[in-house]
Amino acid sequence: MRRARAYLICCGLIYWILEPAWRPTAPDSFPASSYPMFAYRPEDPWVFTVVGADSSGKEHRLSPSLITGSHEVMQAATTVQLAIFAGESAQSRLCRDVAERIAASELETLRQAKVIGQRFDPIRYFVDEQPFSTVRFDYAACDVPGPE
Amino acid sequence: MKRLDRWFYAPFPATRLASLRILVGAFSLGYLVLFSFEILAPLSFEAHRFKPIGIVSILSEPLPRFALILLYGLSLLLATAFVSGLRFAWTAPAFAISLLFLATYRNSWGMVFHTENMLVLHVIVLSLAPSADAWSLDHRSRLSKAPEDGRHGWAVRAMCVVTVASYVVAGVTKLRLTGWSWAFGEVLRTHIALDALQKIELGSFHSYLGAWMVQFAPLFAPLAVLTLAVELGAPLALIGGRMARLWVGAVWVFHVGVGAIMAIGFAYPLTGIAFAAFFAPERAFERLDRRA
Repeated sequence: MRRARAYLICCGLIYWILEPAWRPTAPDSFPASSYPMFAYRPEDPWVFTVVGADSSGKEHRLSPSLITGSHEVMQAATTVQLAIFAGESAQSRLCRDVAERIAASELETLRQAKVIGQRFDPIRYFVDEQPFSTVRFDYAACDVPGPE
Repeated sequence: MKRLDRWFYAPFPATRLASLRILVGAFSLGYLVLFSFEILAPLSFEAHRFKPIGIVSILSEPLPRFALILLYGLSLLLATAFVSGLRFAWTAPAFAISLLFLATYRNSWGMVFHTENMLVLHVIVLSLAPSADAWSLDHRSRLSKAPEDGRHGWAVRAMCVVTVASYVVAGVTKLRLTGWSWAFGEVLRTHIALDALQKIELGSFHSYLGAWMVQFAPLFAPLAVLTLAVELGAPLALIGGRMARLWVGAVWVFHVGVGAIMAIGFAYPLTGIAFAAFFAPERAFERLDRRA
């Protein structure tokens, strides 16, 4: 009985872990995953982010914790990407969330948050040693709330 | 079939499973404490960002703040019970479920990380096996000298199979999504460049080594071939002995490389604990015990 239980558990685990390999394009899950992160060919590399602009209009990069409230950079990247793909209301909502986090931070010089997407050639970005962006799209912009 | 059974239900000492319980449990406890700011980060996330996956799909909205804090606190207590082997038959499955839920919850905000998968799966295996038959509060010394038994062996084998299967899936996905051309290295090179670029543009730190390496295209074909070899060749580790040592060494170097080139730290494999089931970790504990 113990032996049968052991086999049952192991076979169940193997099926659980291997099953995502049969559907690698399905949404990722946890803890059984197809580990798709570096498997596909990135055909159209866009980088989506939120930047802060000061009163002169100069843009500043924001940290992942200002963008999402987490230190994880990939969490920030995915959050912005999902908001952009979800449409205008999600983009505006993200913009407002970030603007509120900026207001609560010590970045007093920033007046605006902008949700942007930039298309890069990632190889040229490093090989040419300049931030080579081919296309930029501004999805949403919102003011940083002032002090109460 | 008999050969498979002899391998799978191999008689191992109770201390083998106990040492794995202590190692994996201690890592889990350390993970819960050291990564508390990430595990509890959803406390500050906006509810509309909640995208439940896996076991967390039972929720239609995020947990209330107190519930996440309570679950986290409970997980710390259960992890301590898991390591010490206290009321193991109840506390271990409860810990496995709480860790699975917490880790899945962390992954339920749009981004699925791949750093805790193996840890959670190993805790599940250990929680379903008699892992507290030795060196535990439940059985202080009763079974530490008990004869070797297959009931202490299958979970060790299952942990090895889980480890190997995870790497195989990663390799198969590369072939299914890109094909064998993944081995040419250009996809890997683009991912390394894109990863560094994303980190720069999102105001985070990136690997200078990876960014510098991108300019040397010929470097990436050998790296891609080695990556596929480590992932698809993982089942060879189940042969054991020298082959297991060779694969574990190769996969550890692979993770060191990922850390250096992409600034992504897979703590569980990097500590070596993820691969402890391929060896006899109880011997190290026994040596420590003799010295004490």
